[in-house]
Amino acid sequence: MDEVFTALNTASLTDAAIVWLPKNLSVETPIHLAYITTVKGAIVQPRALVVAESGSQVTLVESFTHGDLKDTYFTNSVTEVVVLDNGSVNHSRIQWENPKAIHVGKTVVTQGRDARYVCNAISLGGSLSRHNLEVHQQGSQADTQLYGLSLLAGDRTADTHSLIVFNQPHGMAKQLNKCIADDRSHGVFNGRIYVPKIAQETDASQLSRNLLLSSKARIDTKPELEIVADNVKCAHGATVSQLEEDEVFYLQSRGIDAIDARKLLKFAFAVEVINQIPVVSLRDRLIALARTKD
Amino acid sequence: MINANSPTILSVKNLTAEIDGNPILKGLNLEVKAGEIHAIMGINGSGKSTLSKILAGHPAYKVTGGTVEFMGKDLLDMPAEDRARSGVFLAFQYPMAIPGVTNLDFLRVSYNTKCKHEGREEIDPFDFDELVESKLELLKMDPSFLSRGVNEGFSGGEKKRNEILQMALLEPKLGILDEIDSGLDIDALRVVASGVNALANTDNAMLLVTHYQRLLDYITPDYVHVMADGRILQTGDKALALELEAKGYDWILEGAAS
Repeated sequence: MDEVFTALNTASLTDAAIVWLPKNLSVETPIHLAYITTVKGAIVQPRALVVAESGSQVTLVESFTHGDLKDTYFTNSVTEVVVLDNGSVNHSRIQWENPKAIHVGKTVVTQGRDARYVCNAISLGGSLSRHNLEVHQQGSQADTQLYGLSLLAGDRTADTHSLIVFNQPHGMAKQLNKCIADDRSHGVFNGRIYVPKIAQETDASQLSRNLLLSSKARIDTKPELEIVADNVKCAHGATVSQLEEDEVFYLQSRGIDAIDARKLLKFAFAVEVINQIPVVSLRDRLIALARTKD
Repeated sequence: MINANSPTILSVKNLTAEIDGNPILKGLNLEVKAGEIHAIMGINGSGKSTLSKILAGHPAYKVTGGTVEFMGKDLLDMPAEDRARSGVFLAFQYPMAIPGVTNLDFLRVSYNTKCKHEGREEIDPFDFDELVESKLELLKMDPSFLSRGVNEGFSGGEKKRNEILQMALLEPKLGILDEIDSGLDIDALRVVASGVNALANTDNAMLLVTHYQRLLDYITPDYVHVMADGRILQTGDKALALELEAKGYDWILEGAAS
């Protein structure tokens, strides 16, 4: 299904953002690709290509925002990231569309030998949003870390579909996806990890943790591991929980009122993912947002 | 220290309470005056932990009868956070871990709720750092405690010390210590006990809930109460705890039955 959206994006391609790091170049300053939609009813299809040549390193931020726009619009983005041998890309993807927007985003990553890729995907907006994240480890000893956080309220639906494919031995991957769902919102996580026969000595872990704040909110989570190789370490888990009465009481017994106690516990749940973001100004802004969010 | 003229801090009269329809407290009476240290002992299931949670305002328990006055006010009428701000402090048997919130932030938020309640301004973060560090010394705690998540990955002893640290900052009128000694080795117990002793004064009162007489070697109680089946069966002084240690609880239970 998501291939249709990718094809649609490609069909309307007129220009693209390209970040190309030559061999061994390490860029200290984060590079920010800001996609800002300001036109009512727009269909926006941004395209980005990031190539980190061998030994290069970059911190990348992509943000999807909406200025003052209150009306509905549609974003259909595709970002391709190629991390060649021993390169390193740290990618923060902030989806902060307005509450009426529809957002479909695809991130496709290819990693060479010893290449490192980190994704911090934060979903804050959109009435309906989906992030398709695909990582292909083409070289051995590649290291992939995927962190995801969706903060959901109202009638929002946010869907994360991820795929990690190990195509060489000694690959590593760590994935932590968190979702907080309030009101009548709906969070979906489908995380697939594929370990074919060639990918011996793979070390992968995947954890989906979800917090339900209302009796009408809904979480669907589905870890999906397909393991053919016979000498691998693959852990996975999924939890769905509510705020514990005892936790709230502990905070109340220290003078914090029940409303603030719940806020603090929600913040504590969310901040683990936010803390992964290496850009201090961005991290601080998101922490401030998570702290005050009802 | 017993002083007949001290003001009453806590007055519990004929308290009955239940959880999920099961009665736990069945007519409990307790009078605590300023300057006093009370120990409540009893076997498992006697209701002693329930009593401490009810005093602190745990929502799971339903009070079905009786009264609780704290400094002359109806305690049962107040939500848990108001009790805390007014000076009731419960040191938890099992303190909760809150990963993601640093101990320092948690302590400051908690301290500021009390300042606000007393009509004082929120404390300046730098002044607060100094205040906390002075309290850390009391409990022989390393400053690195402050930057860790609240009780996250803390050992049993660290969690209990952290509870006493919170009490040291909040300076309650009534400190309820629910099995503050359980799971502690003798060194940790000494540190915790000396912290409690340093905080006990003539204006406040301490309620120690414990299984073991050992704690009372380090904190000398003015009164020892023995609880069974939701009531206080016998009250004495330190000697009662020693007698319980030597003879067990059966003789008191039998005495009550006959």
